[in-house]
Amino acid sequence: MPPLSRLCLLLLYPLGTIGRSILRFLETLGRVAAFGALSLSHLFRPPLHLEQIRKQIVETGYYSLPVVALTVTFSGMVLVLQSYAGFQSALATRAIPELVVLAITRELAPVLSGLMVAGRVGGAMAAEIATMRVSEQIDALETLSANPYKYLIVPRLLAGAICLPILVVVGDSLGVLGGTLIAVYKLGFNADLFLQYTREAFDLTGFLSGVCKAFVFGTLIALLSCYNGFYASGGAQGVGRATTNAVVSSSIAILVFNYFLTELFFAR
Amino acid sequence: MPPLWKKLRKNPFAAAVSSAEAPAKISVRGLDKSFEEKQVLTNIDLDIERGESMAIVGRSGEGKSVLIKCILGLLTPDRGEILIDGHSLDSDEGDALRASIGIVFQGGALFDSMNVWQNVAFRLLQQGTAKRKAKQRALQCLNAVELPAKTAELDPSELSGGMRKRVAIARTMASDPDILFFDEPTSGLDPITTDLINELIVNCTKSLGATAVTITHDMSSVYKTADRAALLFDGRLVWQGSKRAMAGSKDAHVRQFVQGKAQGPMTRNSPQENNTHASNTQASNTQARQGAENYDSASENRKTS
Repeated sequence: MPPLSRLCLLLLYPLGTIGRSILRFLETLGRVAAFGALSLSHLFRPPLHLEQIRKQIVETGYYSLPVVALTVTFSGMVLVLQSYAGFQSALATRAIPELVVLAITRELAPVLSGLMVAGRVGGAMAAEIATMRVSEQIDALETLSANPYKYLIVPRLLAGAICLPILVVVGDSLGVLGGTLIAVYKLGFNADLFLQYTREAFDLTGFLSGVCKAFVFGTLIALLSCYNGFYASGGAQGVGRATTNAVVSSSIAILVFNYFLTELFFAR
Repeated sequence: MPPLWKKLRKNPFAAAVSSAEAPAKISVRGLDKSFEEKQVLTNIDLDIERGESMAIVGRSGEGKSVLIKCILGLLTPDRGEILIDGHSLDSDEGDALRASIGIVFQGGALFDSMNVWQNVAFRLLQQGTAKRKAKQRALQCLNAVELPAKTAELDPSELSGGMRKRVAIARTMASDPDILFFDEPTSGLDPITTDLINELIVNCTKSLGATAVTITHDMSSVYKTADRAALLFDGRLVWQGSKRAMAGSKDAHVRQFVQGKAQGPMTRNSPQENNTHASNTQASNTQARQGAENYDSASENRKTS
């Protein structure tokens, strides 16, 4: 082979690798979209498996409550401590309640709750569905005249979409409460004043944007986890791979979508 | 017993004529199936008559499970036609046909999130049968497979391998299917449990009056449960006949398989043999993926129709 051709090949090789990766990514994106659309279409066609929906809501919402509560409460407490250290020197401690409310309702509660639920529930969803796939339980469902989308996917999507906003509302309250406790009992703020500033700083749009974000994150976590589980293959290794992919892809999706949603709600 | 007027209305020759003209219960014509580069099934032709018990035998990884998954509509064949009672599963009768089929999967495929009786009564509960009635039926089926009533409240994880298979058989029996598929029902079991499961298969098939298809590589199962057998090798059906004919067959493939010899036409291509495991693993991964994709497209088709 002439040296020029070899050089061209050498230069083209990385481009080819990048191109293949992009194509693979787009293919996966298309498959996730198709999977989501098909699942959504089953949401509007009876029968709905109410018992399965109830179970998933308990699993996703109720059992995630302690994790989300702890995470957001301590984040609110740390936020007050850190902002006090910075704002005290600038004589701007009045801004602390405003910062706590805005940061928690707009960003910290939805993102942290999303990440926690992705780790706790998303991993479990993917592992359960993947195990069902590799042990032929999904095939069994189909042969027993039960639609796997209706029976497995729709209840999880609904649970994700319903529970995360509720968790975020609880997280908002606990995060602000944690910050208030630290401000009053550790930093010596006047409780009435702190609460008054907090109330004044509360912004309904910011709060609702956080709830909307939670709805999107909850749906994304359930969708990506179910997708990874449903298409799992290859025994125990496949189940492990599906679980890892579910948690990683959900976490990345939360962070990426958080940016775009923030831009949508607050960019001028 | 049907009432007299029903008997009188019946044409006495109708049964004979209909049975002579009736299509095979399961008919497979020119079936091909491949996973990526691996051709798993090639030009499979198979007829299984109603009430017949057929065993499909072959070495591990020859595509026996793929064949029944194609028949069940869990995998889409590349080419060929599969008819059940003369109809395709994609036809308007598809849902009714699916409801008339029961399968016992290799590992039992019991749902971990439910206890035993809920597993057994799963289809009944899905069809809206009252919980008490469904549980009663589940207990009857558990009794039929010789499991005590107290098993009903256990979780699948608390059962032994043989018990799981029996529960899977009970689950299949619960909805009175016309066609029964058994995928390696005795794999991984001790000889006594194997014999017990074989007896259950015979009893279950007889009591339901069903057509049975058993996938196995265990010759004792073939002799005990089947009327006819077919041997799958290299993706093709190389031999079909009665179990008696199988025992006395001069066919080299059949003789090697029945006698369980390492040397013979089924193990002649040693380099290929070495590659079989790797390509089978790849094929089974692709199979799982295609199973999911196939379900997507199948449900899309059903939705459209």
